Amino acid sequence: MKGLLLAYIVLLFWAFPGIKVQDSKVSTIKLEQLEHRLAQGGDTTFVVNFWATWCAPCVAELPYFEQFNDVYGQVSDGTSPAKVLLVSLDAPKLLSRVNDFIEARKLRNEVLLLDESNQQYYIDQISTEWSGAIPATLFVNTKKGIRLFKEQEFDFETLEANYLSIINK
Amino acid sequence: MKTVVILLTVLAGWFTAGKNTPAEGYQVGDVVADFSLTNVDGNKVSLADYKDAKGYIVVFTCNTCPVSVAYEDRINALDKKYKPLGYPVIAINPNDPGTAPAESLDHMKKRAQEKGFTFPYLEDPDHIITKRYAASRTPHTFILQKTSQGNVLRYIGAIDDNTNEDAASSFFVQNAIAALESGAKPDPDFTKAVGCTIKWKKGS
Repeated sequence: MKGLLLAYIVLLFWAFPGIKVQDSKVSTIKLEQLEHRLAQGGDTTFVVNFWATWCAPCVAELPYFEQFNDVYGQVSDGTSPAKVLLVSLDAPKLLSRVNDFIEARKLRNEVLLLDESNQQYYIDQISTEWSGAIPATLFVNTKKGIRLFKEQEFDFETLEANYLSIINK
Repeated sequence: MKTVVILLTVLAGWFTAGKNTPAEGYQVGDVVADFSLTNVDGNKVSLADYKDAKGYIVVFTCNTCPVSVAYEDRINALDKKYKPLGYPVIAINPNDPGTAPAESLDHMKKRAQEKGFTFPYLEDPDHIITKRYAASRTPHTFILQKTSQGNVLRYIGAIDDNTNEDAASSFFVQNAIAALESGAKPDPDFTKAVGCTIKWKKGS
């Protein structure tokens, strides 16, 4: 009985870790779940960046996505909110590596790990314009019916220009 | 206000269009032109040098991209297996050494030696051939078949379906060559894979 109680307590802590830990964790996501979330976004402009810890130019541009979110991620008097999602294409089994990476870099944007292994499936589903090279970024505004895909590197100015062109359409 | 909006829209389009818009390159079924590029041994290499070839496995790959590095042993294995059958591997580095110094010819030589490349590893100054093929990532593979019309592009895409060699289960390049050998066309003849972007020369 005592053993069972102990196991229960251990399980409880395992299942519900402290809020601080939960906050910083990367979650895995299926493509279908990601698309569902984008579709539910209303007038939010999602900026979905596809990256990986092994991709140097991806890592180099992450600070611009942080900066972009600092400027446009807040709702203020009528302007459309922007939401950055950093979707890692690291292998799903490397979740802890991605976690360590974002903690070390103190990334504030939401980070997701794509839990798909069939590249023939997910690359075309995300965009037929995508050859598979990263970094690549998808802009989605469901209310305006906009889905804009860019296989390129970004800096703050180019992110801003794309975002402004979407919300002003 | 409206003018500002239009201006911003135009400006945004201009900003984004100018950056690496993929050019229309060869499509499957096209006859491709030959090239003459410098190998890591200093000699020029052309498709025509391979008199007895039935085709070619042209791979755009580089020194530093982790996906390319993960495929190096497999590219060597492809050359060992298919060169005797008439389909040699020809590797081309599409990256600009000015933009990415670790992609210079000297570094290519070093990499080819370290990994014991059995195939030519060519530089492509100013991305001339890279743009002709519209290679957009590393690694990016193009299989050519020698015909009476010339060298015809038969397959564009990935080597197999997983960067992790142990997890790969569809061997696209091997299947494509098997199809060509049996007188058929590869199916699929176009695949996609996650890879590294081309490091373009600044201003190109």
